[in-house]
Amino acid sequence: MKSPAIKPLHYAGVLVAVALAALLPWFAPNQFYIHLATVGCINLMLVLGLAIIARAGQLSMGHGGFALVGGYVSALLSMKGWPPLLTLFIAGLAAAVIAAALGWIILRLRGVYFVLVAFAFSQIAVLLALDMSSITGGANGLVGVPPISIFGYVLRAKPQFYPFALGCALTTLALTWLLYRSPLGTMMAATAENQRLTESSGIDTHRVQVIAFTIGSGIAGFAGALSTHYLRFISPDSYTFWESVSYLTMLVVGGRDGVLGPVVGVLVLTPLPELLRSTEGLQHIIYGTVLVLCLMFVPNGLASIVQMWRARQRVTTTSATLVAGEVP
Amino acid sequence: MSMLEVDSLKRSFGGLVAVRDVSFAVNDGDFLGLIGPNGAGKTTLFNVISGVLRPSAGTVRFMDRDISGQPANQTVRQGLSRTFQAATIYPEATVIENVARGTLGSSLTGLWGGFLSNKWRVAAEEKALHVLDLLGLARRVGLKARELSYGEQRRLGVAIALASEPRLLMLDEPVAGLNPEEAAELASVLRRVKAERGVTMVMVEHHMRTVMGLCNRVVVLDHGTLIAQGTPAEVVSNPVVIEAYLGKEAVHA
Repeated sequence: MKSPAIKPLHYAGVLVAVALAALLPWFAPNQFYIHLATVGCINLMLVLGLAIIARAGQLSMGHGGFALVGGYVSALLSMKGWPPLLTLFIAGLAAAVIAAALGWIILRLRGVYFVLVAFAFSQIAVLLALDMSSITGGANGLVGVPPISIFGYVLRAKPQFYPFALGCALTTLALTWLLYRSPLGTMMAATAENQRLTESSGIDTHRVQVIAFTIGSGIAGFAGALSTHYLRFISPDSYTFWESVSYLTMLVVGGRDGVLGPVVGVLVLTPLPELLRSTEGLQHIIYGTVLVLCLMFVPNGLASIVQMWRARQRVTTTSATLVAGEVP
Repeated sequence: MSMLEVDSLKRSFGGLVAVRDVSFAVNDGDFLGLIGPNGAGKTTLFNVISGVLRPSAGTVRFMDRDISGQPANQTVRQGLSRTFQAATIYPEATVIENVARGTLGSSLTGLWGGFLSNKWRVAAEEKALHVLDLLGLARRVGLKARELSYGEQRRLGVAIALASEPRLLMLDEPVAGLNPEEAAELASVLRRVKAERGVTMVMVEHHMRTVMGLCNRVVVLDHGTLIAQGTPAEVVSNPVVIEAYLGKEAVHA
């Protein structure tokens, strides 16, 4: 039962939001805002990747590890002279292949064991980046990663890079939305909600979870590579365990259902530390307080406020049609 | 023709043998009741047949194909579907979404189809509506599954299993926990499903009135062993069965 009145409003809202995001470079007071928006775009991709994995009922604490792998793959290949536009996709593919192999083994582990192994993977990725210093530059990382160039147009400055990052983020957003509406996305949601019942409906839930893990981690690899070409630098510290935690925080604060949750989570939590910077020593305390308040009062994420409103619309229209059907 | 053949099936958990050398057949069009005292191994037998558990020994043949040890998601695609003891539904999804999800395993789009078109959803919801109509839930389609009454949730569980269009439906205690009216309603719904869809059914059930009213054949398990089979009337007058349920004294009394 879809209420037809909401739909056009819905599309208009999406259009306005996209237009505002695209016009940002023109009304941003200084470059720092553009930088923040670019970081937001990259965060959005990472959180969407995490959301896809969560959609199938799994929690990946190794998300940063896949971003790290993607970043190094793209940095190393492009420093050898490969075009960065190509290595971005190779980075995503490399992360996806590792996730598929790892997922096939570890997704047989349920719940907390999966979380631990994914965590271990991200730690191993960091340690490898530190130890293989002849290739990765060790703790110093890789400096001077080439910028992305599109048909000779080099994305070196922030106002040039931002539209590309926004395009990547919006494409990821659109593809995630399509995925959620597809049979595969429906199987993911079903698996997360009741795995035994989904299995008994003829769906190989293990395979569905491996696919979700592969797609989500592949997106992380791409986003990690994108960030590396933006900052022109990657080191083992670029994606530690704490980055994985912060993506998870954005997902939980924003909301796990649908694509709106990650958008809200990224919009709220990417600028928050910067806004709190003026409070000097208090910023971590305030950040923590905001998180706790969110979890206490909107446990399903900030986006669930919109969904609650929509659900109320749905119930009223449903009962209205039911009553209309009963009264002769 | 026998649709399901269970041959010397055995399942043990460590040293405990839950199902021991059980053989029986389900014919096309049967409504078979599987009864026995608590702990007789009925649910284990169910889980082994439907692929939730692997057999320790023996074979399960369905439509002349060996399905022993196949995972549940494959037996469903061959036409053997089941329900679970507790209400197994997707509580946060709408009623129609619950049943639409049940159609996915047998839908033609497979894993990767249906990204750009909505046709699969229209087809799934149409199929789901038919099943819901059959089970008397058509007026509940827009509600969330958790908003249904317990009796309705049990019927929804049957609807989800039916959505995969099975040839054989296995019901694990379908009326457990229902009040007499709800139990009678579910029984009449099952009778209707059988008549309209021609689905062969196997049911684990304690509620003897439901078994007597629905089943044409009954298999009795005790301590993991098959102790009797026959029509409901034959089975309830069988001294071995009475002994298993009520103890030796009852038989001699």
